Amino acid sequence: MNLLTLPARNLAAQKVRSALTILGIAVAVGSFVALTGLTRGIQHSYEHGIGDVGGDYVVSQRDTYSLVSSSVSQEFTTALESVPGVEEAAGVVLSIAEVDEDANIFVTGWPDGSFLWDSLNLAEGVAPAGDREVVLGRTVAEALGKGVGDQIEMQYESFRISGISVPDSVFNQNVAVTRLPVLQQLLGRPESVSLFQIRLERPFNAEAAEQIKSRLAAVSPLLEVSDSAEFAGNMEFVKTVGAIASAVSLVMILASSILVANTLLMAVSERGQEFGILAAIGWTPGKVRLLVVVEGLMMCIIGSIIGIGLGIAAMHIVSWLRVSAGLLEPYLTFGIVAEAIGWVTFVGPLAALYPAWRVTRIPPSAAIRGLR
Amino acid sequence: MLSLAEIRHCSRTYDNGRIVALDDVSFSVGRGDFVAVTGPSGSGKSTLLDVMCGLEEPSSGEVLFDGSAVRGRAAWAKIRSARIGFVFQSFYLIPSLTVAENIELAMLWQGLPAKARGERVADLLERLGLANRIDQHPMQLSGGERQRVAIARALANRPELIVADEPTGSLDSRSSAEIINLLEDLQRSGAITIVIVTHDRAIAERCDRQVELIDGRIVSDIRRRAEGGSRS
Repeated sequence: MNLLTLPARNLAAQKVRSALTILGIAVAVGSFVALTGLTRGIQHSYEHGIGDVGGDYVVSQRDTYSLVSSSVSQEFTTALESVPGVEEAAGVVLSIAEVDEDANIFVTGWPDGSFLWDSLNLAEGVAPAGDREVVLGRTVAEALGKGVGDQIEMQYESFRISGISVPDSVFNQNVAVTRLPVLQQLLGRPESVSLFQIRLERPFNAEAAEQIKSRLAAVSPLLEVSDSAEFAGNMEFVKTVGAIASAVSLVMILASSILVANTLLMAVSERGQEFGILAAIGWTPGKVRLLVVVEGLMMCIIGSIIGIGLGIAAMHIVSWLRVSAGLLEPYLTFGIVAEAIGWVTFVGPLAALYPAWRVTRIPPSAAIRGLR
Repeated sequence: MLSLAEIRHCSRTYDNGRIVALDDVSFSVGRGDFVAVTGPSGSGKSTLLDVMCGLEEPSSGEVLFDGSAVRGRAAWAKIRSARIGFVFQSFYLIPSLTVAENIELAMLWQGLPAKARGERVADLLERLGLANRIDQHPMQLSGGERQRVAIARALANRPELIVADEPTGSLDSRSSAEIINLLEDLQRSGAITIVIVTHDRAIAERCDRQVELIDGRIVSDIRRRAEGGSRS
């Protein structure tokens, strides 16, 4: 027997109530894991997707809200390429396009002959050459059930799939790639790109790269120069989604703590006599309170374990949905799991403090005899 | 002789003084005493015991244990944990725990290793004739067996004082006799001080000392045998 025996027996004695409370905690933790994981997945996905195509820096519109909302004049190409140390500035268009009227995928346009095409790791077929050809990442091709030679409707225009690529990053496995002028024409944004992928002359060292970065930034105050990680982290869209996800998650965890408090209040009201007995046999008020807190903590830990499983399942289900194919990537780290458990194991015992205090407020003699 | 437990001019009132459970009572119990507290229902017997053992704070007066004044729930809890054992009329065993766990519960904070606790539980159950009930739950036991488990729990920390509030009140006559014999044996063999609240005149007659309460006041305190329980 140990300190856990009595709380465990008490939870087992009220199976339905304990199970419902644990389920509430699990849903809160699951939401936290899923929302935080998917949000950070977006950032992670952008970071790797942007960094996976062989560029050293990204030049984008300053303070851009999202990956697809950045808009920069293609005329900057010459100015950027004239910066000493820059080998190539490849203007890229990125957008979200409706495909076959029921799915949304990322689509990107790369300039003909740019270094970006070297990163296209084709599993089947060839790079797009014509005006209505596209290469699909393997994941999105599987999600859409398409292969080389098939047609897809993109922004209400028919495209032939010329190849299937297998890039390293999850983001690029979910992207359709076509030629830049084709996408500019399709989206009605001629002479405009989302960003520039900058490739530096080889070899270069970190100090030289920093100097080139400063020179690139001096090209125009409208531009922002960053590496892929900075670019993904600085996007206002990612920050906004992250803030919303954090707020929703924390509200759910706080709600679950109220559930814990309510369950424990009911439990301690019913078991007043038991706490009186413990006091009579020499348990100090602090130890009796500890017992209640441990009971709350046990529910939180069990709920967290179930919730992590639920969260992982929810992330995968959402990312597998055809409607979000390519847009959301499950991303789970030890940090996210620790954060979820940390929050719950912090607010759970806090929620248990009031019921625990109520238990020891009553004199032991009154508690034993069921008096209030 | 130094008192083990003592209350001095204690009163306990409820409902803003309208109900008086104890009225300026002074009472002490010496080491090795076997005391019966008697009186009609509502006379303050249980309140006297509760105040004497810190289960209830007196409205006024002073409570001493082993010569020292004790105040505060935590201080009383420590004394009860190591030095006082309780036996109640309704047994008050925890139904979700086994017989062994109910007894071990009293020892959980005594710093004893689990093995030592287990051995002590087994020893107590053997002495009380309940060795074959160790893994059963209270609901599976008879009233007399439950009360013996409660006594085992009271003895778990080898207390100096056992306080029994109507310990036979819920038992048939055979079980009652067994429990009283058991308490008497404990007092004789182990130099344990025992205070029993009882309505039963026959039980009171077996004690060394009888204290009678009426309306929260001690109306008689008769000692039949010498202090410390020495008998002929």
